[in-house]
Formats: sequence, structure tokens, C-alpha cells
Amino acid sequence: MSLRADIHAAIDEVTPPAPMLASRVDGFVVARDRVRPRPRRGSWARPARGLVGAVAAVMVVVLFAGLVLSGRVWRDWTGSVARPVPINHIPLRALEARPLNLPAIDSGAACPTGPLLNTPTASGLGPLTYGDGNGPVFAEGTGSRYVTSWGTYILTSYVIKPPYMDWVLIRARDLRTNQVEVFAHNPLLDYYPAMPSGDKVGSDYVLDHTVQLYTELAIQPQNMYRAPGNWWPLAVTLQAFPKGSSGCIGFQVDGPDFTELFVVSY
Amino acid sequence: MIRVADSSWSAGQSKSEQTFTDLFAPLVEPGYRLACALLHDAAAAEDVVQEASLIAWRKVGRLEDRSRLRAWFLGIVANECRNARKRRWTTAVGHGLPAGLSVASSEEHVLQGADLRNALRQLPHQDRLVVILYFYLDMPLTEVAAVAGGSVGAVRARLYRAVRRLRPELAIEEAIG
Repeated sequence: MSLRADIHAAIDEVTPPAPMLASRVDGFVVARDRVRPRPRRGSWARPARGLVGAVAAVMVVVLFAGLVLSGRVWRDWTGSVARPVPINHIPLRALEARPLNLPAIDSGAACPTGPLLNTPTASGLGPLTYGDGNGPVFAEGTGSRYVTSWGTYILTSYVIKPPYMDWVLIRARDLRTNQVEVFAHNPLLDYYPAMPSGDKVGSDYVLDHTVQLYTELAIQPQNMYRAPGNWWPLAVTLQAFPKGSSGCIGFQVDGPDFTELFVVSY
Repeated sequence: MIRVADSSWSAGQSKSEQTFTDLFAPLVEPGYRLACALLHDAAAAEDVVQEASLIAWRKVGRLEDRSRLRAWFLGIVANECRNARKRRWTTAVGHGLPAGLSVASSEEHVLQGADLRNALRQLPHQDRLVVILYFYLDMPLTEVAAVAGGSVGAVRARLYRAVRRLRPELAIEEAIG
């Protein structure tokens, strides 16, 4: 064999096919493009750097001391009061009060996946993107999975078909085992239009960050990312099912004037 | 889908008409192969391609000549690979065969592959880059030079040096052609 063939063979052994990578990169860039890097400072700023640095150092010390003091005051003040859930919004309470209508299936039964609809103008992942659900809320799993000792995390995008703009609440269960699927902030993003809500069930270490796990996901469409053009509002979240789950997950999506069910097999 | 915001693209084509998918989707696969070849770690390679794509998308407005897009993007991937290797605090344990030891088992090709990857890993970054671009991505020397930076002559010299280290017994002209 030639050196070229040897190199091809040697590297192909460590290069598994990644057919979903292009769409995953597209989704990643869509989500991250909103966070723009800061422009460079001009040369006029150089002489002031020393002074600004000193002032900043003093401010950091003062701020740190303030945080320590205020933290102690806050701890003493709140005493043993339980930590509040991130969302305490009256419309969401009404949605949370709705009963779950997800079906249960036998452990050996086939997972009743669907519906899966064409959402051509959703997140722009391609000319024919398919979303889980009947709308107005659609889920698009980006294909990124992260496995921990707790369970399996799926990076998932939710898109909402305009003109819907009201609150949305999402809950999910394993249809075979009735285990609760949980939601967490995507730690790679620093804006949170999709907010984990409900009961906090624990925390885990994912993507080099500690994430808090909640039983529900609340979405406020007016805060979602909207790419230029007619793309639908987009939010990215982590959702996870624990070890022992069958991966046949039923989702109930509630808005003030609709309830939507869909099933995904992960 | 997101679109490039500003507008000074080549040959009368407005960048505002270009989407990420239009520009970079065909480059993700060669970028991934390059990253795998440089890092020998598929998961790390996917991360690098994601980061490189974001950097490329944010800076593509500064690229004057669209014909250089592929070389420019692969250069970003290569640079991100070098940064990723610097960040890694663990190193792979080499498992190359000692010189002179012959392997007669049925797994010989696997060991040879590991041996060759280990030898590639020992090369300096720029040498490894030109070897992979030329021998693995099958790029012509002019494009290798565009990605790695430098002249065609300098790239050829790097290739000679790298091939000499990888296969001392190999006729250089046979390898580079």
C-alpha cells in the first residue's frame, strides 16, 4: 500500500461517519449567533487601561465583600424558607393545574411516535425540517446526546409557529415506565427563553457545567430568539430521561387555548 | 436559518443573500475529517467544527475572495484543533511498535494504523497539517499552501520533511509525486 492509502486507512479508523453533524452545526450557529463578541477597543483607550484596571480591581474587592455580606444577611433573613422555583407566574399555574393526558403503554409495546409534521420555515435546519407535534409548538431534537451517570440528555430546540405568543408549558413522561423527563438550562447559552420550571428534582454535571433539573419547561415566545427573516421563534434546552427509562417519551404541551400531545422515541 | 448581515461580497453577489447553510454546509464534512485526523478523537472533532463554524460565520464578512472560502474555513478548523490540543491536559499513551519488531498476527493492519497515527501525532502541528491536507483530504499543493499559510515551495519542503520522518525508507518522489 502507498503512504496515501495507509494514511487514509489509519485515519478512517478514528473517523466515524457523522451524518447529522451539518444540521447540528447549523443549529448551534443559529443558537449562538445571537451572542455577539464585543468590538475591539480603539487605541484611544490604551492610556486609560492602567487607571481603569486599578479602579476595576477596587470595585471587584468592594463587590466581593458586598456579596459576602449581603449573602449572609439574605441567609439570616430568609431562614429556612425553601428556595423558590424560577417561575411563579399566574398563567403558568393555570397550565400546571391541567391534568396530564399521556397514555401508558406496556413494556413490550411499540412506541406510538408522532405526529411529525413538516415545518419548512421553522429553525432553518434545512429545506424540509420536521418537527414533533401538531403545533403551534414543535420540538426538534438536534441529535446531540450527553450521557451521565444520571441519565441521557438531549439537546432540543423548540420552535413556535407565529402568531402564537402566549405562555407554553411542557411536561413529559416515559410512556412505558412513567418516569418523569426533566428539563435543564442549556449551559452553553446565556439567554433563557425556555425556562425549566416546576419541582426541582436534583442537579447533574453536563457539558462542563452543573445544571439544575426541573420537571417542567416554560416558554415565553416573546423572549425567544428570532433569526432575521420569517423564521419561527426558537429556544434551545436540555431535556433528559433517567437511567432505566425506555426512551419512549410522551410530551404534553399546554397553552391557554390548546393542549398538544406528541411522542418521541429516543 | 441565519443570514450574513453586511454586504460586500465578490462578483456582485450580496452576502445578505447567503445563509449559513449555503456557505458552510458543504465544508462541515471536510472540516470534520480534518479535525478527526488532527485530534484522533471524533467527539472533540465535532466540538471543534462547531466552534470553527461559529467563528467562520461571524468573520465571513471580512473574507474578500469567495474562492478562498474552503481554504479559509479549513484554516480556522486547523487553528481550533491546535487550541484544543493545547487545552487538553491529558495525552494519549502512544502504542507504536518498537523499531525492528515484526508483527505477524491477523491484527497487523490495525496495529499498523495505530502505529501510523502515533507517528502522525509526533509531528509538529504544521507538518501534521500539511500531511493530512495533502495525503488524507487529497488537496493540491496550492490549496494546502492556502490553508497552512506559506508558499507552495515551503509546503513541499514540509511534506518532504514529514514523509522522511513517517517513512524513512520511502522514496520521496513516490510519496509526493
